[in-house]
Amino acid sequence: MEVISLLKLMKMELKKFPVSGYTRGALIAMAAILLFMILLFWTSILEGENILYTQVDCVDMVNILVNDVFLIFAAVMFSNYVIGEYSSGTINILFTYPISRKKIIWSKILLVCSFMVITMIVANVFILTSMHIINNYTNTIPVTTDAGLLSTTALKIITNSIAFSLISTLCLYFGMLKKSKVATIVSSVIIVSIVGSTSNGFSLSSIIFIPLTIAFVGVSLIFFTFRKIEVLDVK
Amino acid sequence: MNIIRTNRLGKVLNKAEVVSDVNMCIKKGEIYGFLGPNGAGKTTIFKMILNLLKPTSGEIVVFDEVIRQNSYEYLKRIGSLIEYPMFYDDLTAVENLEIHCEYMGYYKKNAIEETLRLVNLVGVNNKKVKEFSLGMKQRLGIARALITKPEILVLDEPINGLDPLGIVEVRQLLKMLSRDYGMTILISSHIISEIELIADRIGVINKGKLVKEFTVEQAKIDHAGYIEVKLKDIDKGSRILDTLVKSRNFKVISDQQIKIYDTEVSVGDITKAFVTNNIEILSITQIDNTLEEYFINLVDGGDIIA
Repeated sequence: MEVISLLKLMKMELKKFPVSGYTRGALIAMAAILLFMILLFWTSILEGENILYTQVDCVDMVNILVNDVFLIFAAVMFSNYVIGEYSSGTINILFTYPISRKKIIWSKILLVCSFMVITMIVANVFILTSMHIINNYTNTIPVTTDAGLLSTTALKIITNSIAFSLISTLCLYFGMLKKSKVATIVSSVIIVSIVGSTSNGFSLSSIIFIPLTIAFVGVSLIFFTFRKIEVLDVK
Repeated sequence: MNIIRTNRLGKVLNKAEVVSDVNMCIKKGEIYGFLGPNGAGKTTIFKMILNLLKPTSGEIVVFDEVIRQNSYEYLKRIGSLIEYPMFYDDLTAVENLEIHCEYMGYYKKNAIEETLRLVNLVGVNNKKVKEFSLGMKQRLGIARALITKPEILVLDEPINGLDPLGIVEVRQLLKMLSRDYGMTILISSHIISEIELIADRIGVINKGKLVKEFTVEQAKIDHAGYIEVKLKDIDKGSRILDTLVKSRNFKVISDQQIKIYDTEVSVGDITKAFVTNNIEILSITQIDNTLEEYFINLVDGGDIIA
């Protein structure tokens, strides 16, 4: 008996729910974040009062915005890839295939999470590079390009992207409780407002330990949710 | 040989027993009709065969193997259409079938084209499924179920939403699949006349219980028909029938109505006898098929008697 690979299953998911729409959405989100940052720059110049004092402030700001926006984005993807199959009833077809149900579900989760990690890294790099180029002309922020700072920034971006894509599984968990798309997306907004918001330059997500913990909780809950999927009734 | 067998199958859903103690056998190659009113438990049993629902009690044996809670490999040999036909609505018919074949691990060139032609769904190449009518979706659902030429075909209410011509086409299609491919077909419906035309054997289910299993052929002999006469003077009428119908196989139903089950006497004979004896006939009807009445009696537990 031929065993269908996880990779093949992910490809099938892409065929059912083309990722092109999400890519377009991601590009728009990136552009929006960049525009927002440019406006911050601009106000800084006009008012003569810097909101973003340092390079690190700027990186943090972009990082937070990307995390927040793309967490909601991931929730939207989950609501289509996973919850959508339940709400439209196609799960009844999907689970009559000679394939392990766990494998099908995990291929979906893996697909969404890896798409999000890549997108978030690309978004950070794209926005920061664009701002760097703009800053070269405007000289709003003093820039240092020492290797140490670059590597910590890179590390920060990567860990945050992984953490926040995994946090999105928590949204999936809430969505799965009632098989509701709305619950999935609303939970992401709530998580963003708690974890991602800043007050006086401090945000819960700035301590990387916190998002990583939430991500761990999310993944554990999802394991728990789908632990018995093979033996439970499909509803 | 039994290809599907259930052994004291039971299912409790939301604290209500929707299927109880069902023992049914489906023989290899036959068309098995599953008949019962809405909510009788037909879909639940089908879903249990497909392992979408897990039995609360009893077991199901398919291809000589007991279905376990985590079995799925046997599903490769089953095609199904359950309840309302569901698809990835933003994709076309062809794309939906491609995805299905890939999941089933079935790769045969031209299969999609052939199958679409088989269910008479042509010229829909670039149309998204969400633009389909119910009848078209139903055809596509049947196409999806049979495209991999499975050994067992499970069809839940497949003629819902089809026009009369469509119903005839599906009937011919199923007969062809059974004959040419030796498929075992499980079909459910609440439409008696349709099941009777398609199935070799029928299982009647009501309130979660299998009430009766019989072959259509036998049922047709057992319930060949009768002549119903309405008369003003029932006493005189029955006295005449005593002499006319030698088998005495007739029954006074009410103070105006007599049913004659003897197949030897014709409407003409009876009319002639009454007219010559000057008995006023209110109406006389030949009823050919009483299978329907028989089913209704089975399902209602004989509560309604004409």
